[in-house]
Amino acid sequence: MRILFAKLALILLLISVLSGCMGVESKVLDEINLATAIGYDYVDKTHFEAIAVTPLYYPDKTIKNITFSSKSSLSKDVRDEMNQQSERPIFSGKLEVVLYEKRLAKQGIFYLIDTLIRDPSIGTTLKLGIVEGSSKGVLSPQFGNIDKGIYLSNTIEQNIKMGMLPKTNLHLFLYAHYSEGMDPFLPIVKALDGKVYIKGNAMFNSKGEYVYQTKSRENVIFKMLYENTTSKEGFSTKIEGREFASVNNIKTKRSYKISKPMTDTPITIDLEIKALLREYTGDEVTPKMIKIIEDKMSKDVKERSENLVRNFQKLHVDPLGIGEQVRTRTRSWDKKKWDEIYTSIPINVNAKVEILESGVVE
Amino acid sequence: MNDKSDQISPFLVFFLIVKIQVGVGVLGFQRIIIQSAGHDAWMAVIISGVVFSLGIWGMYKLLNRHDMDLIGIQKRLFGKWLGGLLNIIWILYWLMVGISVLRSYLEIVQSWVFPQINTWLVTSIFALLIYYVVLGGFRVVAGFCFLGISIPSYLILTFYFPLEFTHFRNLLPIWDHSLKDMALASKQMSYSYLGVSTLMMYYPLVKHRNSSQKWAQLGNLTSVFLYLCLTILTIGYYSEGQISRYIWATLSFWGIVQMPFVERFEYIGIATWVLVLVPSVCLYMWVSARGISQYFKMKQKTIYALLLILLVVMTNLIKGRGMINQFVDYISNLGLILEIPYVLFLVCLSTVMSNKKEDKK
Repeated sequence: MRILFAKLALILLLISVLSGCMGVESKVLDEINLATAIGYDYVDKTHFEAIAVTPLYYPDKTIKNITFSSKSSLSKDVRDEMNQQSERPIFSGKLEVVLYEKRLAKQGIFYLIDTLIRDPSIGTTLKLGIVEGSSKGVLSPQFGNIDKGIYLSNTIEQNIKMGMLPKTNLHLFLYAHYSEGMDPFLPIVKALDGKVYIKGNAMFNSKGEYVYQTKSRENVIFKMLYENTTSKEGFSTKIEGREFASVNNIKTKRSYKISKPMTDTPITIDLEIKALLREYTGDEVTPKMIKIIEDKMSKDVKERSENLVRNFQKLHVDPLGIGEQVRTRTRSWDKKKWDEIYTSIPINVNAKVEILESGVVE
Repeated sequence: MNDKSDQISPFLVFFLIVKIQVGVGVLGFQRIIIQSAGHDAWMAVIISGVVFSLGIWGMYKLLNRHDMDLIGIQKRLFGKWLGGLLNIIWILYWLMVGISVLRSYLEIVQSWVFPQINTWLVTSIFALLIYYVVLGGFRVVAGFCFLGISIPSYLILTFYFPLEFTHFRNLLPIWDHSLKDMALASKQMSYSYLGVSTLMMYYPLVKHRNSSQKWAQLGNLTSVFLYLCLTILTIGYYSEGQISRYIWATLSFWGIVQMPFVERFEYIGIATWVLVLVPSVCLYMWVSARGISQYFKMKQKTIYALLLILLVVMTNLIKGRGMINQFVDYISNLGLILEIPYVLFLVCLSTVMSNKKEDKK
């Protein structure tokens, strides 16, 4: 009996102690605000304005997005100030998207990203983005009956899977930023009547400063050069006069040929593109015509790719990771030397377009 | 003392070895070795694994010859006083490793899950659990070690998630570092394999102990394989500059895990890790207590109670990352000397001495 009492006493003691003095704060979902998207806007050289969006779920299944904003130069200060506006404490455990205004990105955003890595409650699948205009304009309008953060993250995710965006998230951004032969890039979004519109990719230099925005015709090319992909989106080429052809459902494979790394010998990127013909404004599509379209497209892709790469070289950014390709082929790699020769190495692209199907009509 | 009912089957040695080698270190060993040997760090994992295989071979050589535990062997080889001193060093070492394991785990809990957690209370609860296990005797400890591997082994599946973002090209070019770098990385890697010396204490409790070496070697090999996979995955998943920023690279893998029903997988992983770590602490406590009980005529219960009070107090006195790191460094440096060179020295010494005895006969 005595042992039983001792055990009971111990259990009672533990229960009382476990809940009270453990120093474990409970965060009940109904009693906190979970920020799903955060945007940073430029104010002046040392300050920024932060906007956080948290969804509020009503009993009748409507979702309302509430925004908080505050100015500061440290992002955790911002959170304190937002908490002063909120009836419930704000947490970042469900953060989906973080946006930075373009002007802010020009100064480098890395000091703002630090807090995202340091905080263990934020996962690395988080999407980052650059905003044309203000992030307030993207985050504050209510759009449909959906949580804004999830809406943004779905939009980006959808465009990665199907569209022209290459894979991107916080982890890949950090990977590129910290690697020796690669520079990061992020998608650019823009507010468009309460919706968002993904415009392209923002390129960053090795210091983490935004330097270049891809134009709409370059996006698909960039994706093909960046990774082996399968994409629903395609591209179009002018064949002759008013004849255009466009392909979709493309599957690409890229491979590097670097015969003598770290020298002036040209680097060759081979692009193998397999696609379906989606639209052709000319006459009948004959096997002979397909051959012509393939050749024209190969030439076009080659030209556009080489232009894009040359652009990157001029700006001294390397989002494609050509440096990484060279590094993994070189013994005792010297980053400084690579930085010096990168801008002057001739980089050729060989594109080979293959049209597999031409739709359901001849 | 060693009746049949207290003995374990030889295959459990496999689990005991894996258990003691795969502990808290797994969560963050990559950063240190990659800082020294870069993308060639995976070779260091193999090299130091081979060294430990050699160490286990040495231990069996020693144990099979004398057929008693380390305490007895040192007493016989060095006499009462010097042997006693060396035994105290070993016992203290095991005790301190036990403490450092628990402390490192608490640090992870503090920085990932509950920053304001009351460490006194948590360690006390852990101490009660450990007390309960070790009082059950060695068979219970060994069984607990078995569970401590089989239950958390599902975590291996989660490493599928980072695979999507892995650039295996990073492994090239192979052997791009100097021998000195590799030696340094191998030394640093050995910290993760430490703990096999506990074998020398539970050896008398293993059935068919003379032939159990294959299980021990297999255990070591399994640990090497696990560490190797993790290292290769780390090299591919992180860039070299990036890894130097992550203290717990393995934990940070889980940042990429996305499942519809769980937002942050780290919390589940860290909670599961209790099962990985408590058995090792139990084993260390059991080993130290067994050593102590051969010197002091005390009840087992009292010894364990004293040890666990020491565990709770020490764990709470060591605070902050700097102090924890320093403590762990001291212990592992001591361990590195004791577990490999010293054991091999003992093997030589015992060979020489037994040869002399035969000469006299």
